[in-house]
Amino acid sequence: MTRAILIPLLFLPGSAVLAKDPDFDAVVRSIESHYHTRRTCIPFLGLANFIVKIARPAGVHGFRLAVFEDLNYRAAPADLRFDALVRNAVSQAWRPLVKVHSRRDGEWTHIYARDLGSRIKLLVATFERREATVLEVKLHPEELVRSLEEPRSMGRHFHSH
Amino acid sequence: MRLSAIFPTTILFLAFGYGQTLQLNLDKLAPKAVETVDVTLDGAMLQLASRFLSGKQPDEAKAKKLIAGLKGVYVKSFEFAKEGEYSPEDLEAIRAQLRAPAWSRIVGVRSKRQGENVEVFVKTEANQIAGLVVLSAEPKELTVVQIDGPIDPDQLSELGGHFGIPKVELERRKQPKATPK
Repeated sequence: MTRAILIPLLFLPGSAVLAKDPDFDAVVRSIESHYHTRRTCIPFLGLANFIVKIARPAGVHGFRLAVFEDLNYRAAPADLRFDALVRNAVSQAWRPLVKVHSRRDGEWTHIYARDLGSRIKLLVATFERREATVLEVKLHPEELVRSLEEPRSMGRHFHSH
Repeated sequence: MRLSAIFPTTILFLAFGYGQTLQLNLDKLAPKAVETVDVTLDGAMLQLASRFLSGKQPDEAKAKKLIAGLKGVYVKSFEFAKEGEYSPEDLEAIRAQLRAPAWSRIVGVRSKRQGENVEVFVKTEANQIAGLVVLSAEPKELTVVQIDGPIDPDQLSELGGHFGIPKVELERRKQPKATPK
């Protein structure tokens, strides 16, 4: 029985495990269309997500991840900055929480939060020159409250990963 | 009075008048900074944080009590590559947005950190503090904290170090003792 559940999970993309949120997909589609790219395939992401759901490290109940490499930012409209792209893609249900822009390193980090009652979802979008990452994490709100003690570190922490 | 005159006046009153969240314009600083951090904790997020802060841990209990009545906490921090990247005029432009009669700069506040200048402005409505702005200027860093809602300036130090708010040490100016006649 366990094997019957686990084996299909190995082949599932990570995004299929967490209940699909249209805003995660909207951000991913927006990056794909503006930078003429496709998300990088990460093997065993479904398994990693399954383990996270069981082990719940740092209060995380599940995640979806999309990584983009070799962004063709020449293809993107010059007047469209990454922050505008993310802002336009997410709905009002997401509350902006932290935004970090490093002109020195050409990095953007956006963190949005969505209240689900007993859980909270964070949507993290990072951009660094030719790479971008979109991460959706479902976690216990106590973890968020702990992270909010140092929101600046929170933004940098997500970027460094 | 004509309707055409009343309408813009009403809009202006609503935009800048009582009960409205002040939108500080800091746009000129962002292009000069090497790093900008923007933290937004609106009413919904504060309520969420309040729900999950422990009432048993002394620090968390204080923060929980403090944020319960707040409508929002907004922190904007700019880091500059070198000293002098922002000018006194930039600071003045922020101060100009915190004008009387609604806003006043409270006195008897000083920072103990060398090279750091901290100013605290409060908004009063019906003789009660309805908002607070902290302007913390260091040679290479500028932080603007805006707290929307009723807050006692004495409690500000308790929020320092939380939610991206820098630690601010406030001292009330001692009232001179009345000399007996």
